[in-house]
Parts: sequence; structure tokens; C-alpha cells
Amino acid sequence: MKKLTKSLVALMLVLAMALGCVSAAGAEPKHAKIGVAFYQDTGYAVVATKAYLESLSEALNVEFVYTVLTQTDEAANVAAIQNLISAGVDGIICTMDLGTNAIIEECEMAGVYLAGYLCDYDVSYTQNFDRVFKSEYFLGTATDGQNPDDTTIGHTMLSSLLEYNARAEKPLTHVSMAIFPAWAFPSQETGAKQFVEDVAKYNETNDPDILVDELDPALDVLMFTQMDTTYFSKHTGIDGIISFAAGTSFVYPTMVQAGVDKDIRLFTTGFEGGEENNFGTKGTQTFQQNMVSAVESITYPLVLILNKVNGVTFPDMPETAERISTSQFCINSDEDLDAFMHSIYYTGNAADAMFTPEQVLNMTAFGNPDATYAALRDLLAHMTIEDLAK
Amino acid sequence: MKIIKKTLLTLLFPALMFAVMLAITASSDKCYVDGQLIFLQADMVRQVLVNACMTVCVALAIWLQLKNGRFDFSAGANMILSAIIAGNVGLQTGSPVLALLTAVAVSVALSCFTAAMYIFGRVPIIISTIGATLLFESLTYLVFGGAGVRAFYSTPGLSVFGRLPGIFLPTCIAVAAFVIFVYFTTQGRKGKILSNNQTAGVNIGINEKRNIGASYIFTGIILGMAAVIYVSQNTVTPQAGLSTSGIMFSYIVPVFMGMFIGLASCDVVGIIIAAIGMEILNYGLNCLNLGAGGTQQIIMGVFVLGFYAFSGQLGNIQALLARMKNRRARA
Repeated sequence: MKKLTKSLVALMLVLAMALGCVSAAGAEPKHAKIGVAFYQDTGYAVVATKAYLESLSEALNVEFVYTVLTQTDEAANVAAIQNLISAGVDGIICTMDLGTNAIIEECEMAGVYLAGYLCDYDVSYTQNFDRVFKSEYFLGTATDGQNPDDTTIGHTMLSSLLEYNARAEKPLTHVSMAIFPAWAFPSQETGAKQFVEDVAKYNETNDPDILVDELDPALDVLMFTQMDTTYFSKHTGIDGIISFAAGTSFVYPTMVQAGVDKDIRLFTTGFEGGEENNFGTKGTQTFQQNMVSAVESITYPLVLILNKVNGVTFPDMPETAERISTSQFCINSDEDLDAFMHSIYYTGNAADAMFTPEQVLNMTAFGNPDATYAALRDLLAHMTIEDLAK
Repeated sequence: MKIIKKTLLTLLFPALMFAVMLAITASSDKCYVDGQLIFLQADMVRQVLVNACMTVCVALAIWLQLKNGRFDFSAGANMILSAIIAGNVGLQTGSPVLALLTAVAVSVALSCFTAAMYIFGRVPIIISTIGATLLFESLTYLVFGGAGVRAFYSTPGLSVFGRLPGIFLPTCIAVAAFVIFVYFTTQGRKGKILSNNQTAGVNIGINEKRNIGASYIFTGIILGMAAVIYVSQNTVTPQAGLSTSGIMFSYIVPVFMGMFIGLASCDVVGIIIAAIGMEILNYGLNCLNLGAGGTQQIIMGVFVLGFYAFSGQLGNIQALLARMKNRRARA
């Protein structure tokens, strides 16, 4: 009799668990509050990201609160995260790897999940991997472009340069580079070396040669300040700049001030508005390439956090959090720019986003029992200008 | 003869600065490209002139209030807000002239608001101007959707007032506004008395409120010119947390230097010459790859401190030299 009772209780427990799982997969998502900590409070990317998130709000039953982090003040970042936790968030999407040790500690104590967006978390990845990436509360990050150990931006830059040369009346034969410091953006230094190697290989079999000025640490590494006014005196004769650093803010103003914006072509990461007037065949034709990450890449950390909040997980979810390289919009021509100008990044209109709220819900483990981590991860590789045109 | 002496003394600072930086850059390999010294290239003249024009406008706006016994913290916020509004008007109309006029109109209006806060609020100038700064900074997030101005300076047809030779127009207007107020208006002259002794000035019948109103109108005109140059050279983004004061303070050094250099002529000339001298120093440091970061800050700080110490002790130095001269004559 005792054995029978035990068996019945065990059976009931199994049934209850099974019912719970089934109901969780098909039920209304739990209400969640998610904090998003941006790297700045204005600009196209911020406006578009907010528009995209707000459009998902109803379908995913989530509300968002926003804050801004700094690139230099660890304590300010920790305080900003503490404020979000005090506001009752269930998860935080963070765009900065500064003060992460303290931040993850705060999150662990409060039971709040943390995930990254537009950030490679390289300091944490290389120096505090166990503390951050193995933490139960750190879920992973979608990098802004490639991770430092997965860099391809040097290849992309040469490809854009050659594409320009193929259509230009006067091909570019002498270029210089600009990067942010390696301690902040290691992939840019790697990308610059990659670009130099690629050009050397190209020069072996092609004419005319492309001359790349050697990277001068004192001049070409921009310490988050505008390019030096003597840059063009020191890089005499250049007809192009390959800026792995955000060129619109840090390179282009100096070009305008020095009066070289009509003579030198700029290939750069980032799009901050206004470039379209001088892009490709328009205006001064200064900009010949822009590279930006799709704001929709925030879907990755968002889905991971919402799964946790809803108490479900992907069947193939890795044990340790990952940082995932994202494909980027590489705008090389007027046609590419036209496609980009119809994206949410440019319009700030959620209707132009790559994913509808229903599609995002379908990516979650609670909205779709068949959803997988591999599929979510794969999305980040399909956010290119070609995908936009589809 | 006296005029020649004054002219030479006035030009001494930039000439010395040029000579020192020439000597330093000439001895550094970093400053040679293809065997040519980059410090001596035409680019130096262009950069110095373009940067000096902006510096002169902001420095004059700061000095105009300082000269009248007030330090206006809101000048930076006024300039940024005016720049955002003027830039957007310029972008919408395609007219740089309209942008300039808008910048002046907005800046004068904001200056008048600051003056009204000070006059009618009856609070110390530091409190009223910091209050105005916070208010203006908040407005930068509200006007035009908080997007600032991004494409104005990159449109050559619009940014004429940020490039040579167009930049000379707003600069000349700013200098003219300063000169007219300080040297050709009664209020400007009364301001000198008020700055020396406010109570005595009021007691002898000077209407301080009128002085404040007039000086802020002229400050607004000068700041409007600074705003149109600023938006013609930069992306202007919304600001918060008194960051606009930082922008304003980055132009303050020539104000104090100009007071000393101006002893040989007048303050406005002193400020212009100081601005040119400082830009020569900046360009030289850029040639040496020291144009930004901690080293540049240290060099600038030490230089400015040394300059102020020298100018502050000038009277004692002159007395010492005179005593030495007398002793030698007696011997």
C-alpha cells in the first residue's frame, strides 16, 4: 500500500511537471522589465534600437527602461546598473564592458540577468572569463561586428576599396588608416594588420600598387578624440582613409576643417547621419563605404534574457555564455545606401525592422517549443546589406 | 614711435611662440615628412586662423561679462543651443545666412533670459547662470527631437562660416560688437566702474540693470557668431551635466592672456593675439604628436601657469630691473 502511494505521488509529480512544461511553452509570456544601458543617449542607433524594442513590447509582454553608460568611469557604470536594479528590472542589456566584475556581482545578488549588445566584452573575455562568462547570470553578448579572435574587417575594407577602384575614374592608390586604441577595440588593430597584409598580397599580382601608410601609434590611433589637424600634413599624398574607428565623428570633421573632404575618400565604420549627403556619387563624395551593425542584433540578448525570465531554455543552449560576431551592413554603393535608408536603423520606424514581433516571439523558447539556440545565433550572421535588400 | 613700440610688444607673444615652436619642431624627426618641416607648411596658417577665429568669438563673449564684473557660466549652453537651432534652420532652408541670423536671434533671446533671471531673480550671478546653463542644456534634448545637428558642417554650401574665408565674417562681427559696446556706448564705459566697485557705481547713479541688459544683448550677438562658427565646424549633440561649461572653458585661456598682452594696446587686440599665439602652440604640439591627451594638458597647464606667474609678477620684475639699472648707473 505504501509502495503504491509512493508510486502514485511520483506519477502525479511527473504529470504536473509535464503539464507545466507544456503550458509554459504555449502560455502568455510572463511580464518582464528589461533595462537597456546604451553607450550614448542620442543618435540613429539608439533611436532605432528603442523603436525596435518598443515594437516588441506587447507581443513579448516586456517593458523597457533605458540608461546611458560611460566609456571611462567604472563607478558611474556600476551606479547606472544599480539604478536599473532598483527600478526592478529582471534583466539588463549592456553595451559596455567597463566595471563588469562589479556589475555581475550586483546582478548576481539581485537575481538579475545580464547580456551584451554591440560589445565584445573583450576585457572580461580575456581577463575575467570565469568570473563573467561562466556566471549563471551572464547570458552572452552580440558583438558590434567581429570578435577580436574572429576579425575579418581588414578583408572587408580591402574588398570595399577594390570595389570603389573598379568603378572610379581615378582609383585610389595611397591610403592611410585610423583606429581606436587596442585596449578598447582590439579587433581594429587586428583588422588594420589584416588590411596591410591583404594589400601586400594584392600588390603582388596587380597594378597599380596600393600604398598603405604604416600605422603610426602617435597619430593614427585616435584616443576617442577627433583626428589631429596635422594628420594630412603627415600623411601627404593620400587619396583615401581606411578608418576602422568611427570616422564620421572622429575623422570626417578634421577632413572638413582641413578642406580635404573633396579630395580624400573615406571608408569607415559607423553611420551617424549626414553621411548620405556626401556618399557615393552625392555631394563631395567623401564617404565611399560605411559599416554598421544592425540594431536587430539586440534580439540575441533580449531572447536569452526573456527565456530565463520565463523559466525556459533552448534544448541546445551552451553551458557557458558566448560572444557572437555579428554580420554588418557594408554600404559600398548608392544602391546599398538606398537599401540602408529603408532600414529601421535609418528611418527609426519599427515597421522597417528585419523582424516582426511575432517572428521574435517565435525565436524564444517560451513562444516556440521548437526554437533553438543555433537558429538564434545564426540570425546574427544574416544581417547584411544583401539581407536588407531581400 | 610709441605706436611702433606698442605694435611690436603686442606681436611679441605670437612671434615668440612661433620662434619657440619652430625651434622645437625643427629639432624633432617627427615633424619632417619627405624632408619638409610640416610646421612651416601653409596648413599651419589655415589651421591657426580657423581655430583662432572660434576662440576669439567665445573668449570675447566671456570677457565682455567678466569685464562688467560677472562670470557667465551659461555662455557655453547658450552657444550650443543656438547652434542646434541655427543648424537645423540652416538645414531646412539651405541658407547659411539664415542660420547665422537665427543663431544671433536665439542667442540674444537666451542671453536676455539669463539677464532677466539675474535681475528679477535677485540671486547671485553664479547661481542664476548655472541655473540658465542647466535649463539650456535640458532644452538641447527637447528641440528637434534631441537629435542635435549632424549634417550642417559637412555640407560645404552651408558651412561657409566655418571655413576660410567665410569664417572672418562672423569673427569680424563679433569683434565689432565687442568694440562698439565697450568703447562706443555709455553702458560699456559704465561697466568698467561697476566691475571696479559695484556699490560705488550704483551710488553715483549708474543703473546696473540697464548695464546688465545692454551687455547681455551684445554678449548674445557675439555668442551667436560663435554658435554659427561652431555648428559650421562640428557635429553638435545634446549636452547635459554642465558639459557645456567645459566647452566654454576650453576657450578661456586667451581671455586671461589677452588681458596681459592687451596692456600694450587694448583688450580686444590682446585677446585676438593671445588666441593666435595659443593656436600656434597647439599646432606645434600637434606636429610633435602631443596635440591631445595627458602630455598636452601638462604642457599647456605649465605654460599657462608660467605665463600667469610672469604677468602677475611683472611689476616686481620691472622694479627689480630698475633697481639694478640704478645701481649700475651709480657704480
